[in-house]
Amino acid sequence: MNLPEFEYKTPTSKKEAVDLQSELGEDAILSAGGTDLIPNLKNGTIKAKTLISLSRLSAEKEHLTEDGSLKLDALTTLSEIAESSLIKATAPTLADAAFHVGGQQIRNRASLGGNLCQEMRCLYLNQSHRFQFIEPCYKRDGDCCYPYPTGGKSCRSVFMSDIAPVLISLGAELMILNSTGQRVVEIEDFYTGDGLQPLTLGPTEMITAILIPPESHRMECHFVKATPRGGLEFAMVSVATALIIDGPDKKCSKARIVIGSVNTRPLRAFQAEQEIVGHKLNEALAVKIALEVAREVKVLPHHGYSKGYLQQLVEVHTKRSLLALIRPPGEKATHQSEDKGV
Amino acid sequence: MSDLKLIGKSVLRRDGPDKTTGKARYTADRQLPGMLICGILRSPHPHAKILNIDCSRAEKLPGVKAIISGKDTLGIKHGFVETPRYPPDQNILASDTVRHVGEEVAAVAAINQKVLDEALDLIEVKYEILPAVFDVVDAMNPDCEVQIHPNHPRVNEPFCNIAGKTETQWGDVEKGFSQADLICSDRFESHLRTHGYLEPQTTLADYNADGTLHLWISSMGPFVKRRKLAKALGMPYASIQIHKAYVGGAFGGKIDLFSHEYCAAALSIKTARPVKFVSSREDVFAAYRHGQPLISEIKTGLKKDGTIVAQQLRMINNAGAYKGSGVVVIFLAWAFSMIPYRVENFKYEGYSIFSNNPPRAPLRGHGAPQVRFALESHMDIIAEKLQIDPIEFRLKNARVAGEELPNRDSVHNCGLQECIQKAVLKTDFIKRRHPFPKFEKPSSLNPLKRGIGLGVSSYFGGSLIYPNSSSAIVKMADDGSVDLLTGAIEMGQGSETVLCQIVGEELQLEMADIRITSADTATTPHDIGAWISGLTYVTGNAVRQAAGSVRDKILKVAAEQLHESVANLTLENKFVFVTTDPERRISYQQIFEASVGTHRGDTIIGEGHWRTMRDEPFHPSLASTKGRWSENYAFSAQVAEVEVDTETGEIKLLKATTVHDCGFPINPQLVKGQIDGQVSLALGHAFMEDVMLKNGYTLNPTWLDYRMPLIHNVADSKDVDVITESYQAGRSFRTKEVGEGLVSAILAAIANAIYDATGLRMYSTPFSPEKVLKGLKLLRVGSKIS
Amino acid sequence: MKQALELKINGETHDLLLTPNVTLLEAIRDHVGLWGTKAGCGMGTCGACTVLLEEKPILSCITLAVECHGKEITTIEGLSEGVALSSLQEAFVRAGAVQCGYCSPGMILSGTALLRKNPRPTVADIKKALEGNLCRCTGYNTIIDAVLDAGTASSPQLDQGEKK
Repeated sequence: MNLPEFEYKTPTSKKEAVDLQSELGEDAILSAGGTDLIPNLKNGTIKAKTLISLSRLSAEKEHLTEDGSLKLDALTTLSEIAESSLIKATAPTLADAAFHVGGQQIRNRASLGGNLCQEMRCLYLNQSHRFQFIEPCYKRDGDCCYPYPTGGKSCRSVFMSDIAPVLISLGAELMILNSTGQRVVEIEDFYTGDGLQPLTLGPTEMITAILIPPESHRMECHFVKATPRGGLEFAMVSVATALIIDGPDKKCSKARIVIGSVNTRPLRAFQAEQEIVGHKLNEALAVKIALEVAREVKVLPHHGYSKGYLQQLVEVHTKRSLLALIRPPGEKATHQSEDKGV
Repeated sequence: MSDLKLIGKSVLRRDGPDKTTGKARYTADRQLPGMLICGILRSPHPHAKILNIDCSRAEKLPGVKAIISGKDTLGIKHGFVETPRYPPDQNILASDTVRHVGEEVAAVAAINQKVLDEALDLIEVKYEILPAVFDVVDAMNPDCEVQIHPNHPRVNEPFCNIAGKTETQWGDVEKGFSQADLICSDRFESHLRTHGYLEPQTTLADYNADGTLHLWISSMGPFVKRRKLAKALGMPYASIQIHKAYVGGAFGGKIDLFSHEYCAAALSIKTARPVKFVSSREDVFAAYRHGQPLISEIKTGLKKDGTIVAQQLRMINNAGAYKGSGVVVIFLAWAFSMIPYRVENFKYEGYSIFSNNPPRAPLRGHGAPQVRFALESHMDIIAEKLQIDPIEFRLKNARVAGEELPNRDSVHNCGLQECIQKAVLKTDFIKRRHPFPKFEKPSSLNPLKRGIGLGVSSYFGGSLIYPNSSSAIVKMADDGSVDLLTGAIEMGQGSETVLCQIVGEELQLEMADIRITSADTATTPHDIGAWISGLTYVTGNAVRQAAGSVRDKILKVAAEQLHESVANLTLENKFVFVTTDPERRISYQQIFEASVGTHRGDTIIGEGHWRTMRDEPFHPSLASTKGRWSENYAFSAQVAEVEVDTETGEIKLLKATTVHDCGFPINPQLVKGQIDGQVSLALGHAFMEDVMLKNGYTLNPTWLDYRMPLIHNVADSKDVDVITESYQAGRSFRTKEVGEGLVSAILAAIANAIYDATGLRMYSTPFSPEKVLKGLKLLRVGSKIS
Repeated sequence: MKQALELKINGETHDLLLTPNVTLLEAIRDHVGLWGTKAGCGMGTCGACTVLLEEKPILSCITLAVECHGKEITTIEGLSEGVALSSLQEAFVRAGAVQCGYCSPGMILSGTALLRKNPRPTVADIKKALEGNLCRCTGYNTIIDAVLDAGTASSPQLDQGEKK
């Protein structure tokens, strides 16, 4: 499959990049590692007249800012995140999520910013449409939706980033640059939930950095990505949990439970979170919360998985995540096989 | 067999260095001067009349060198099967009707991909959409309004869209059932999965001014391709030369003629330039042939003591838009049903049904995985109902050495009983299985459940189907080394290595003294091809015979030169010496010289030929199953150990143990490689692979959404040989196949292991997590699972 | 608009003139003429096109050639020195980890990168390093054996194509 033709620009600074975006408008697209962009250009889901390559920009190494926030350059690759000792120490679920994206070949090129802006996925989208599903759907600027033919003009494709749910659980912020200046947005507000316009990122804007607040360092966190095969692929569901547990009575003062890969944006289980706050997490509560999360979060069927099955996975993996947080370190979960294979 | 030089040794494969260094050349790795690339325009509809094809705008595009559509072909149809009862039904390029999404409508040769893509978009096709049918039960329904092939020779049945029927019986099933103490009926279903070969479908065609057409094709055997191409192009075979190319996997998906092969050839003829076609991975998923889905309806009557007295089977195959190999799979399903166990009274009906889906092909096992999954599950169900030990039950009914099958084939040195016994012993099966698996409520404390299961299968090799036989030539070089010429194709199974081992054994040569030239239709002899598991047995014996012929000539000349009788001579290290007086010797080099000198320039060339069933003129009838067809039956028992996560439905295959009667292994390392690969294929079939079709469209035409096993899913795979044959230089040998038969019993074993672990009986593949959870839920509420 | 670029492959420099939409895989196979790197899917889903870019495994079918200008690239042809196979290539042959061979170049490069960083990997390390490489023939058993074998057989400074 061939890439369509495009103009190719290589700015040498962030400012130059956004100025180019400003000049070229919607016909231009930013390109970092290309691991999501190139396949989508090949199958026609994304169209662009110009690629603004960020390959000549260097990524600032991850570090703690003055106020203790963990700052990550948007161009940091996922393998750098997965291997960083600083990130493993201060935001271990972020390192864990990065470690489970694709395979190492993808992680070596994929950027943090690119992952957060990845294209939505749907069986009818993820192919080239030369003789199947030729009529463009709403997502492809057309006039129909294949999986939901009577659903009106909307798109229920799924946002599959594993990093986004983790960053939402950690309360991260995004630094966004455009030609007039910089703005900061909470990552939760970055995602609209509208499958047709999933990001609050203008066509002339670029994510430059991600800030994870110092509060997150003292959170008890867990991340799980449920896949059919244990690697390489996108999630069936993902669960990112982060709790602040205080004091000798170990009561939870803050909770974030974020479910990824089940809807047009990662979803927080706000009501379930409130059930934990003020209580000490134990097994009974974990089971109860998991059930609440599965009830609360709106799950879309995707990629051949039914809604009911995905809801079951949300419940099981939320429960297992919460149990992991109360398990003594070093002790294995009962669902982890003793047999590690050959 | 320990005194053999090369046979039975894990000789390192000779194409290993080339394949690990990037030197091995596959079809797409060849560039020829002036080469054009070919693209195919495919139908976007599952069923439609073609009203008009207008290529005029595309033809005018600069860079487009030729375009062909149905009217440019000779209109000669082709098919996997071409017999009077099952005439070929596929068009190279659609003539007036398209019957599946992705069907080939036109082909373009252009100077580069950009021009090609534009040209394909400029071809205008007017379709009149016709109603379509996809589900096999709907298509078969007597009231079905969609007739996909109204002119297909009718089978006299009250069903619609019948592509083919196989029917056979012996004894009296009604009588048998009336005498049974227990009658058990079950229905199983095997779903659509695909081959997943890493190398796409590829063809390079180069038509020369002297009228010869040169081709490189990713295939499973060039002689079938040559025959079918010659017919479709209207050219004599001698004008077509298919050259050797390594093949990046096939598993049954690259046997018969494909439209793109013809199109590349025809476009090369038209333009007098080389034309290369490489399929996109998406096209492989959405438009090419996948495996055969099969529904198995089984009714078995038994005595209390476990003797099978009657069995009635009905198998239904969803063939797709053309017969493909569907009419073969319903024949084979009969075969795979009746080989392992003795059944006194038996009735079989198999239907292959048309539907508006892409046609299907053999997929490693070609019906055996589907059938053994069904029958071995059924055996365990029966054993539990009769309250007899499932192992004793199998042993009681299992074939023994020398037994004659209902089609009058002999199973010869059948090692089935030993396979079962060894499998049980090696895995401690009796102690570890749960005699009456009970469903247990899933608990957070222990959601993982382990189980063990066993399955039995049989496969055969080398049956009569065109090309029917293999020939080989061994020729000596002046220094005493040899060239082996064989039409055998190397697609990963290690044929080149194994065939050289045979030559080395016959002539007592090292591997370095044997050079192999293979898979070229002009320079190497006719070969049976790498399907129906024929290579090692059929081509192997042809090679043995050819090397044996050289051996005889060597000994004859040596006898003359040493003034000794042949009986007193021994071959070793490229020398012939007198057995009782080793100092009296002559080298192969000297023998060659002597042969040229004293035998009118004879440079010592040996030829060998082999086919199975040498006293049968024809292949058996697909429709009636009459006729003997193999002398080469392999048997296996496989044990699966699984772990079921009862909260998520996910299942891991922890360990596979394969005990197989392969005759004897020529190369144990290559045999192990075949077994490991088949275990992997089986676990993919069992848990994660599923071609998702909706109204004829493939929803998941990518490797992200069609999930094949990753390295994470590797299962511990152990194998044990049961030796029932042996090799002796100068004699024909019977190895049994190992390339296709070991994917079936393990699949069945997995199903039985799931039952052992959870009390959940699976009746359809894949055993997806969702099905498992649904099933466990139903068990929980006490109803029978599906 | 075609761009001039330099691709440094296996220590040799190639001057090319390419439009930006040419992938690294196409550049290596069609323009430089090294056919060892394989095309399996064109969409970054099988790993057959794996090459090392500045020592790191990447998927050449979804990487633009122009983005690799001036960077060190290693393809399968770059691992052996003359007729001497690298220790991992030898280990693959010895273990029977090659059947049809189509996945082998990509698999071996992923394994080579692992061993260069971690000469004594565990089975879990190997699985993680090779999770992006599909194989349909071997079932992966012998591939794991081969990497383990090459690992224990090598010195801590893993050979960079040197004879053992």
